[in-house]
Amino acid sequence: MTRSFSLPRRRLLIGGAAALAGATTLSSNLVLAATPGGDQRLVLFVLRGAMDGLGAVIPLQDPAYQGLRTSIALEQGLPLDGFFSLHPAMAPIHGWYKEGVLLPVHAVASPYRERSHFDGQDVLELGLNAKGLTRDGWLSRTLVTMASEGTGDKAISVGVGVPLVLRGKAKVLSWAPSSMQAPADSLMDRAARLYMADAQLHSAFDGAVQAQAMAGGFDDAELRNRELKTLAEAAGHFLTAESGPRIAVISNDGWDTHVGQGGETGRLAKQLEGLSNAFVALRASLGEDAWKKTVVLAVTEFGRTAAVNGTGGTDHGTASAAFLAGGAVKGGRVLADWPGLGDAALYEDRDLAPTRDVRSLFKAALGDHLRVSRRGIEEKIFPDAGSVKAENGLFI
Amino acid sequence: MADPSLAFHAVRRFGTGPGTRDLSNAAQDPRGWLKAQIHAGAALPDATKPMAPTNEAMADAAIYTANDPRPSDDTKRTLREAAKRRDYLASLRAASTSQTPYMERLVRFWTNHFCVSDARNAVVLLAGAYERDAIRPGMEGTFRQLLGRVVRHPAMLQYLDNDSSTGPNSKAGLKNHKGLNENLGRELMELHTLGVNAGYTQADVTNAARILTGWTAPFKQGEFRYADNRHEPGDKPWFGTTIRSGGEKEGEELLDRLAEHPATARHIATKLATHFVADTPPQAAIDRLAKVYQQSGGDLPTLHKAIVDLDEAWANPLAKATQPVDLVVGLHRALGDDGADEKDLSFLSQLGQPYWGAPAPTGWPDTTADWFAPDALLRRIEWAQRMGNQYGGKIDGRDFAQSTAGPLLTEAHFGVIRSATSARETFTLALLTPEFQRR
Repeated sequence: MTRSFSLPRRRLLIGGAAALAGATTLSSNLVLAATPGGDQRLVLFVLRGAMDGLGAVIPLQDPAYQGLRTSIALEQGLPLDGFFSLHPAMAPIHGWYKEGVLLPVHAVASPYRERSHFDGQDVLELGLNAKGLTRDGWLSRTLVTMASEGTGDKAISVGVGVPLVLRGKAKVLSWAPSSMQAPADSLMDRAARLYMADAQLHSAFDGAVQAQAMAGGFDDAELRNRELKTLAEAAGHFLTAESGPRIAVISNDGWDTHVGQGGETGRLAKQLEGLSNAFVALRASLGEDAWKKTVVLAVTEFGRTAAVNGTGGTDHGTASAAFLAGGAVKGGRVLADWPGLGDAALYEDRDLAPTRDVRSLFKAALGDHLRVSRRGIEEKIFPDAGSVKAENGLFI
Repeated sequence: MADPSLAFHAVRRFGTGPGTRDLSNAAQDPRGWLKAQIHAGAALPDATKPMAPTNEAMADAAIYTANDPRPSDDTKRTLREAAKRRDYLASLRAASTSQTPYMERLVRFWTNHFCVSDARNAVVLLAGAYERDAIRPGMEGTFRQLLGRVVRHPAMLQYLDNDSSTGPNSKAGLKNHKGLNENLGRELMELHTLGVNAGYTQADVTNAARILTGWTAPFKQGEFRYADNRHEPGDKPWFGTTIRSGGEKEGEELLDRLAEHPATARHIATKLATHFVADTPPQAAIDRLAKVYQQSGGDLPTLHKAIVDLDEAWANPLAKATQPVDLVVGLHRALGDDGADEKDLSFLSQLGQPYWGAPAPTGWPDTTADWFAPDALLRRIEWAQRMGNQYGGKIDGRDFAQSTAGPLLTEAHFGVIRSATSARETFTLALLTPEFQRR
């Protein structure tokens, strides 16, 4: 039964651009209602450069905090649960905590235990214990698994390029703002013929055409910049477009604060403010109906040193914080098994120790929110993470 | 006469598409033509003459970063724009007009390998001087010599924060309570030399940073300066050995050991093969280059010739993606004009590869999947449409396609170009063929 039920959607996927174009005559609700997957949405922010979790979600009550952070320590932040405080630059979303749609997570890390940004990001995006088992990103594997379960859907990368987390066997869309004139239709027709016999260019062209069709209507001048807020706004647009994707990924650089990280103001504050404003823009762009079915997940490759370094910044560390937000999130609390910042508690005498594998959040988002089968998650998507349990009770 | 498609392959894979005389020069002996460039390539071609030397760039940077008097936003913008006109365009013009296009590709390869980026503060003013004084002359000697020029150059010392790193137990460290910044120490080992899987530990990274304390480049000084009062005293254990206390010499010894390490040979060989052979290069090609590196003591001209001698580099034409910078340079070369203007810098940003502006110290990625994302392809189409509007009335796109791709151009793709209904579209399509978008 399940099989025949899912067939139309699978054919949609296999049929590619032409079949999808045909489907736009149906309302997205109709199309989505026909699939067990529903219309839940997932937005992943990949924060590149290693976000300082201790600066973002501040353990103000940890007795070791002030001594470690000295010149970049804060006296107070925006109150969360009495122990942790949010950095003041995140004021735009502080109200979400009380509202119950913001869930900071702390002392979280991927399985990666070295300190290279680039390998760290690869491991985070592959969702594996280490590089090597496959070259496909975990969201690409998710798309393939969902397609095989008849709940298949599309994903889009918003911003320049397709990040590793979405690369792999599944076709994806990508879109970025442009200040150049859109191509003429006749040109696109002929370009399609140039790329017919080239698998890589053909696939990219297909994804571009689909994204472009959905982007119709917002080439306003204000959407032509590449600010994070703009990308978030665009993501909301795609996620609510007819036959649009349900999964979006946004990459964000600039978190590598070796120098001049700052306290209440400074480089980190600027990044956190940008991220908060992006969250707000995403919510506004989704609209409250879609927001209720949305999970936003912001993760970074690793954290930074517990102590301030010699140049008013922090160096590469291990555990960091992550953010879950969205109308489908049971927030209003901080999720953390806090290891403490005392000398004996630090990982390798320098970093916040990891007490939670970030994949416990990924697994929960896929299983409890996107309704991917447990078997798919364990066998196909995270095949080497059997010991990592999906976090319970994160979502409505 | 060699197979004519080999000459086209030579100019696309190793150069940036045919310039005025490239094809006739390459026709007899494509490999010989490429290898001859290694000798012929002057370190500083005429087109690089406008570039500011390091001391002048540093003087600008001193004004740009001064606290007293703090420069106005206007002053800062003027300095940035001047640097772009002077240095960025000179670099692009050198690539567009060069008679040694393989050397120019290697300049971009090494500049990217030892990435500095104007995404950080004053690097916009120093990046040109970095290419002029560190990369280009460094390519004439050994990898160790290039490494030395790079790590001592103010652009790198600023970009990876070593200028502000201080030994915690040095005189200045004890007095001012300053300390280490391990950014350069880490990237030097991970990105520039050994590669991430060489087996070093966090302690080795921290000790590399200690060894390099005192290697600074104060803007007012105008050049590299070793500041002994900031150097961490004492012997430093590093990667299985000990580097004896020796001030500035410790850093030189570190660079010696890094350059001679077999992991560095493998890392460099892998990156070169990925750039010139295939996204996933055959192991035999990597092994061959690593062996040449070790046998020649890391002699770069020898290594650059060895790439040309790899049969694997000639096996699959058009297997690699043309990066945006090579689209723009390739267009100017094919047009035979004198190269880039400020609009090209803006196009490069739109095309996802702002010049000297990579987002992270890894530099630009180097595989087809990195460059052929859907949004990126759409930008390429928009750019080509713009170029069609500009050049289509003057240049026949059919001729352009044939002269840039020759026998590599398929009949089907030529048919699409011929089917265009306007001269503009004809030119646009010539730029969009897989034969132009790939190399």
